[in-house]
Amino acid sequence: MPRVVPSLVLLLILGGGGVLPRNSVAASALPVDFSGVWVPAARSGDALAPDKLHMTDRGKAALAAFDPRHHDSTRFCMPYGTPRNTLSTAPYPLEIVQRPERLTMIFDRLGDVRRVFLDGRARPNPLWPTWLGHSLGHWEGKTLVIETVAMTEESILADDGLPHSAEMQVVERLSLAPRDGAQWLVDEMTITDPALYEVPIKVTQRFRRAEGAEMSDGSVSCLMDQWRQDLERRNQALAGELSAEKKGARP
Amino acid sequence: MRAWLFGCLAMLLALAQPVAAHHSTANYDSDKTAKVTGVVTYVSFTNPHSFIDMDVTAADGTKQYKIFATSKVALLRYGWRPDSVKPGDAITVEGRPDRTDATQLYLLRITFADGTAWSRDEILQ
Amino acid sequence: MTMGALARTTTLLFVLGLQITARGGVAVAATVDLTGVWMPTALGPDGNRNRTWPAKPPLLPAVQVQYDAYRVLADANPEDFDNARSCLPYIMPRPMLVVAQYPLEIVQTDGRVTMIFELHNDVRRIYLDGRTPPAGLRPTWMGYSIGHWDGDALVVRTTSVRDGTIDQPHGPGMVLTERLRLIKDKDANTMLEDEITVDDPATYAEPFTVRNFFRQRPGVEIGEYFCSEDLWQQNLSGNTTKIPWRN
Repeated sequence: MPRVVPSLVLLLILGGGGVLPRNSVAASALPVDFSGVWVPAARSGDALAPDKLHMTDRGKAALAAFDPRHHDSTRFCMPYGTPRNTLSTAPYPLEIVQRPERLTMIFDRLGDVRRVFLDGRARPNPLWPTWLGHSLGHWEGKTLVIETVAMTEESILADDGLPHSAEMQVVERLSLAPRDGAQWLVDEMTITDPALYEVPIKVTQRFRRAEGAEMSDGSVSCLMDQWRQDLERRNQALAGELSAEKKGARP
Repeated sequence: MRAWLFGCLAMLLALAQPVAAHHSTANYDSDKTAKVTGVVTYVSFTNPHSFIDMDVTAADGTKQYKIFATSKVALLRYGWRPDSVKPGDAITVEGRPDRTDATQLYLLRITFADGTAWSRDEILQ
Repeated sequence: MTMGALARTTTLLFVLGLQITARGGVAVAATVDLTGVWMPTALGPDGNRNRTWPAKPPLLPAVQVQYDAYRVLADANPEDFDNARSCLPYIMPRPMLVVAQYPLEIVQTDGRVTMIFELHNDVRRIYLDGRTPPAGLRPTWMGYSIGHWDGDALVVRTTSVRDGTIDQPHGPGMVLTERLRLIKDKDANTMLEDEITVDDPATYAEPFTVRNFFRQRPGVEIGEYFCSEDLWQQNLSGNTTKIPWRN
């Protein structure tokens, strides 16, 4: 036994090392690794054109009532929300950071962060609507199936104000597809919301790998204009331009 | 000299950064608590802060009170529901009054319309 | 050597083998996984209250004068200096020194540690791929962070932090060096310790070190903290009542 042990030790170290790919304990447990920085491609056709979407009367009324000045969250530095964040074709990158138990999508604007739980957990109870929704994912071979529920009605699906209800469910099938010698991330999305849409909406969004690109350096914040306005007001107070009247006016 | 000082101070303001994400509690009297019962007229259940407007009726008439509480994300994490407080609810609030305006309270304890109670101690460690 | 001991030894060596080779080109021994949602604790591992910033940091005299003037103003006008109005990202090292109950999420993957802060939904990236900071970087709220493993500690060097805070003053040349480690508290429960050394000869007479501690709490995930939500709700409800802290 003592003579065998040193070579056994060596074998085990090499064997242990050889089991895993060169980089990352985490990556080895992923059927597919979507990690990286991606840029959305323009969509051909228009799967989200309202006149193609078989909207119910309630849906049509909600769309007609849309006022971009008041009902577009992004004007208030609020998030895009799910699935608008994933469907937007504006040229801002998306970063995916993937581990076996969760996939995180960081959208490079307004701070949308989607978390997809891959650990088999159940839906929380109670589950309240949020901007990013609650996403559970499971693998079907090399496709990641993501099911998202509980998205707040305060978000819209697209810039033109396409509405959704709190009961909307979103299913995405995420896969990698080589095309023209490049790697593409393909998200086949189905939006089911019978209160507003008689037929589920099907739309495919593709993302191109942004070689060598990184997310923005975060040197700009959506809230900087607000900050400037506040600063303006505080400077006025300091200069004494606002009198004691201001203190009395506090609600 | 004064102009220079003003300029310096203005620059300092430009550099001012959040000390904490909470509404400053310096204006609330840490030695006193007030307890009021009334009807909710408006709720702002939001980040960074939440507040509740309530009508409180006493012998000398009805006054509007403004109750300040912490962020929605913290309240949800430590026991509130999005519908815990709604306009029309009858609630009882215990809080620290503002030093100059006794109708503004910083929330310490609340009894919701359904009779259940919540204390800010739930958040403190 | 008994069979039990041999079994334990072989398991240990197998795991060690995994760790040694799995790190690819970065030479490092066994590493630790810092992944998780971490809630700041007010108490340190010994059960005593932890200060995350010195009561009197070693400010150079000229900076001390500025700071004192600011404090006089802020203390006299607490309402006007309620900085929560701005909701801008915290400037390093402040995101790591939060004591209030707002967690941070660490996602550790190959060559990267990503931190996502509930306050204010901010993201910090720490690069572990051996790179050096690019030239011509714009200073940012989080700065630019390069990390490497040193035994069981993640060592992070952060530069290029932007200005904009007087509460924790610093200049453009500030270098932050952090050591992040999993430790045990006095009850043998796991904590995350972040030890940060602030080195800025243009602002401070000498480097100094601060610490913060975190725990994982079951079931806690990062919540949605969007700081302009009160303005958004006021807009939706059409309620013209002024939001008190934004007057």
